Amino acid sequence: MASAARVEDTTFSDLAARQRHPAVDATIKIVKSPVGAGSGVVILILIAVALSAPYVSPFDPQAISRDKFVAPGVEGHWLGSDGIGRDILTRIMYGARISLYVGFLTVGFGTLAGAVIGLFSGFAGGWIDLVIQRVVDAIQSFPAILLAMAIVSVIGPSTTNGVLAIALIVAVNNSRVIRGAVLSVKENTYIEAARSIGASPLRVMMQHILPNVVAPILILVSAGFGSAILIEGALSFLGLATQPPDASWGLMLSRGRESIETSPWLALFPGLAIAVTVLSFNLLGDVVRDVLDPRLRGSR
Amino acid sequence: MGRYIIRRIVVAMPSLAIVTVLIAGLLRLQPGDVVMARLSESGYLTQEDVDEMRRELGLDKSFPEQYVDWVTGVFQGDLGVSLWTGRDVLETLATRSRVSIQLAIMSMVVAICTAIPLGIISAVKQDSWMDYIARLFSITGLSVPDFFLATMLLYVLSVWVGWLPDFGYTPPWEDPWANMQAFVFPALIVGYRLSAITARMTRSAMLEVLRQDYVRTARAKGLVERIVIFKHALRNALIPVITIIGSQLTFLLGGLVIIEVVFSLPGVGTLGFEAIQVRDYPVVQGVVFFTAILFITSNLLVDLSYAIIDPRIRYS
Repeated sequence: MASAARVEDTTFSDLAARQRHPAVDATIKIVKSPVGAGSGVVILILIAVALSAPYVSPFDPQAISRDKFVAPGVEGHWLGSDGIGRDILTRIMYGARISLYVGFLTVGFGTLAGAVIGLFSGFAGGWIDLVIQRVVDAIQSFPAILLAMAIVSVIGPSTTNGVLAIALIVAVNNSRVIRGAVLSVKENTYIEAARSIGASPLRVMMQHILPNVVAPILILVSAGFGSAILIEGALSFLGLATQPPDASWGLMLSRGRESIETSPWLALFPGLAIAVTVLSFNLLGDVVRDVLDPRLRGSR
Repeated sequence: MGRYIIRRIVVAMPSLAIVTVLIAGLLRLQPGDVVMARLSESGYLTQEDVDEMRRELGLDKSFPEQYVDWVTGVFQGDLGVSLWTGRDVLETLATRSRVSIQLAIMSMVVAICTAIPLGIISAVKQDSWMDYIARLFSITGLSVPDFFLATMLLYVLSVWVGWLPDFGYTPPWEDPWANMQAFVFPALIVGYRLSAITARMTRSAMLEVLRQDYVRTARAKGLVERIVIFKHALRNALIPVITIIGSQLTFLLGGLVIIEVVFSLPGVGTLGFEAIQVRDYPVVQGVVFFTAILFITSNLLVDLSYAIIDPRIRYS
């Protein structure tokens, strides 16, 4: 009796598991892995800090005070203060807003544009594909950082313009990966079947190809945050993205270099903030990749 | 083989044309030009002075005319002269690329010497503590910004060690010791990031290869593990590893702007950075041309190296 009931239970839960949406399954796997859960928590904390910065930060990020170059832990400045007496912890909290803004916008635009170009190029094939791919080649043959500089020098240095420049490069790189995935999906019999029953090209592309290239797109999304934040840091470091007095981590680090020998915390903490943030996104990205594409374990 | 190489070069030509037009066109959209940048320092000027200088520098012509002039020059081995310094662009590139090439080679040596052993250990001892440490080392390398590492390294050297190397470029044949001092730290930092990318690729390629039948066969016929791993597995895992190292070459030779700035090394990256800022079109064009040629060559070399690693691959 008892065993029969158990058999029924297993069958039922198996059925429930089978009926779960694949996205739910993948999310459960990601959250259950220690690395995925850990990095996810760090990212959630980061988002919370970024959103609540105006309410929880101990000081005003732009407020100049007489407490110049205060060492960490002194006079309420947990992470010290900078050359004009601004609180480092507060500025790092506000910096999280810029980094996340850059990350989300770049990845969003870069993925969307990349997916559109990649889908179109791969699906159209022929000379359209040839022309698009030569342009992609051309853009990839120039170092990304110099290209971003050239774009920023035209549209002017600011956080949003930095995002535009980075997103354009990310879109180009992503489009190549997505095109590759489209080319392999296109060869499947179900695409031929869809075509043979008279589905329009747009329908084939959106209904049959797109769902099958979602995994590589999600992998690009999860790997994109880290590199977007790194490039924004690099551009700000060179004075080409976020402008003072706004608190971008790259900019803070670059300014901190000037007084590195006497007050190393000015450079140390913003640098650590970038490192920890990018590391969390990269670790989460690895877990997402392992779950979505077990073949690619640990590669990049 | 010869025909294959020629075909590849011909196929690459359109991309070369596109990138040079694209960047040159992009820079023409910048507000102001080199004349304004140069004259901004020299006080009061009449419109005639400005026009005169534009004419001298050939900037009064339309963009297509300027581009045609440039292309004609390229075919004659002439990349023009800098609008800012008046120096020959080809000569400047030759001098600057010496720095970049040395830094790239040293970084690649650092990367290969750490990444390949790490990747192999990681794959062979998958999911052991060694694997976890190697992977943590790699993913940290991908996450820590190079400008942060460079800043902290200089801090540790100057404050804790109390010694700073002689920065600035000295040719190796003049003073090898000063040259090494200037290059070893940037090479370590760039090499670390490159090794992170390479080690991850080595690990995943090795994992894939170690599952193959021929590896099982090699083990079954009683070969020592060392030979199985290095001769049978590694050789087959090298193709993706070489591809990823090759894909980093344009970055290594033209994209190391920050490292060159921080360590005061006058390489191609800073040349491009400075030229973009003062709108020195011929120099920017020269840098674009240089990196695009390198991109094409390195892709070709990577593909050709496949045939050496895997004799089944032939090009005709």
